[in-house]
Amino acid sequence: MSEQENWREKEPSLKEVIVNNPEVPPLMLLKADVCRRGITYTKAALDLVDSNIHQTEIKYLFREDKGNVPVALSPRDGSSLIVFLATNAETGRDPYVVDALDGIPYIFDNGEPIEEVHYWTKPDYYSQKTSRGTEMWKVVNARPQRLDIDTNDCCHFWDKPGGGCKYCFAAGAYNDAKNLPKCRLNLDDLRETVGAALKQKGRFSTIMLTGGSILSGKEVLDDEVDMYIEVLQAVGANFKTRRFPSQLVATAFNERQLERLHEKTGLMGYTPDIEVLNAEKFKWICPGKEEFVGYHEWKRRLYHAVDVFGKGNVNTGIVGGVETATPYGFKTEEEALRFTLEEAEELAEHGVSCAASIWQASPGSVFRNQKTPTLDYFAKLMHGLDEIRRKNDIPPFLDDYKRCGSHPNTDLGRM
Amino acid sequence: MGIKISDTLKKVLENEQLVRVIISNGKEGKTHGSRIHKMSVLDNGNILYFEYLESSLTNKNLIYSLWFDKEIEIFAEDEAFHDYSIRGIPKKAIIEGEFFEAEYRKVQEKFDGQIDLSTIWEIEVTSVENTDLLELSKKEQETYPMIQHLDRIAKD
Ligand code: SF4
Repeated sequence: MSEQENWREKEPSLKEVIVNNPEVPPLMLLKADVCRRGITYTKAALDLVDSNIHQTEIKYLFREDKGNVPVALSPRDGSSLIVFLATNAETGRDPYVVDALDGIPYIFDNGEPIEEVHYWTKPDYYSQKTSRGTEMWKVVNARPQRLDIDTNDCCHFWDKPGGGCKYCFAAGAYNDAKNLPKCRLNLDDLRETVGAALKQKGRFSTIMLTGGSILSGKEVLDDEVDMYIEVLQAVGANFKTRRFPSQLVATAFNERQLERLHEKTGLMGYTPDIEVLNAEKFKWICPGKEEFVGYHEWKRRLYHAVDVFGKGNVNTGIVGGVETATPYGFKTEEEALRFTLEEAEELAEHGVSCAASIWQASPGSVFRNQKTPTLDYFAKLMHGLDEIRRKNDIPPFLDDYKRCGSHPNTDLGRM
Repeated sequence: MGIKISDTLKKVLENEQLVRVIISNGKEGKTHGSRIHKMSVLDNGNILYFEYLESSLTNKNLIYSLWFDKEIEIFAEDEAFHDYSIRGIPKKAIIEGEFFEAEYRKVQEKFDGQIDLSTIWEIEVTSVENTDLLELSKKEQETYPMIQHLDRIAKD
């Protein structure tokens, strides 16, 4: 039996992890495992997709697809399953299968139905065009409750070969993107698209902006800040209040940059992703972030951001599990968990919570083909992060199931 | 498959003039009751409970119940002061889609844009009890004749 065929014998199953972690909801463990192992669709599941009703359009980096595959799923608790299509060869584990059961999409594992899901529905604006004739779905992406604005397709940490983060697949887009304008969006298109989206009452709860790091400017990152100011002002023109529910996932800006951003825009939340909670691993895994900001300075900027945006409005993303990557990651899951949670505790004492995504060893990344941790590791990581957030009394809403949906640990803040 | 709700009880549950309360418990072990502003009964007998506040303790407790299969209770009283206790388990949190948006628009209209709609909870009913005091008292005396004050059965 090959290594990939007997992976189930080498690690605890979903059922065992549920029993061993009674404080974590089974549905959250399934969510984490689906993110870890990926999914495939059967033909019967795809036959349930109606591209007039369900969201099948994808605009991500240079990918602009309008096919018949749902972009993501939601289970019955209303959260999201933002999943990747996987094969056993890529992850070393069998992906979950979405199949039809009595005319309803269901997640299956080993032939057993596990949980009912539904496909994300298409927002009204997806079928509209801006006055310049741009299809609106290409301007702003939608999640069930969130508008996603991807400002640029190029991350300039890759300007220096090997400078980007080692788990990141954006490297593949670098050569095509490096000479493009700093912002890919036409601001009139953007203003109109957000305006059209807001006409659908009850659909959207927040606006998230993100893009690759832009290192140029008088001070490093000044151009990135200026771009976000312009974009946020265009978005903000649609609101009658000065501030509007919003989150910027970007590089860690210095005091001058952050205060400028806060003063000139209606931004409410800020998420500079530190990615790995350990100085040494950060240096190895995110060399560009280390060179241009540095681990300790990144933390210091996070703490300052809490003074600017307020407690509960600043958090940081981590790629859960990447701290175990080989050869320089933590050698055991116990060690990785202990160090990661200790560092998360220090951040939380300064008012910064963590939003952990589940590391996938993506094709196209330096870490492709690496083995990601067990589900038991993710169960303990998400529970630990949630307990730390509660203990330090940090509100859970900035990156929760409605305002994001990617992080099982922030979902736990619902209860 | 849950328990069916009678037409009479359905009318009580959906009557916004009557007192209806949802009682739930959650991760922190805090039992919490709150007034129900809107509720409806589906053809399959499940109850839809409309929660306006995202940050309310009820909302937190309902997701806890959905995730861990724990019962919540709905208390309702009809115009003749007959009481009902309905127990059930939240099965679905509806936060988007055509139905949610239609209900959201109704909430906006009714409260003149001052109140949001967080979640429509679909609750599968597990039991329905009539908890009218006179009936309960009669039942208690029949079942446990040992537990009552003697003067109530003393000769005049
Ligand atoms: S900051 Fe790191 S993870 Fe983000 S796009 Fe750049 S290289 Fe990728």
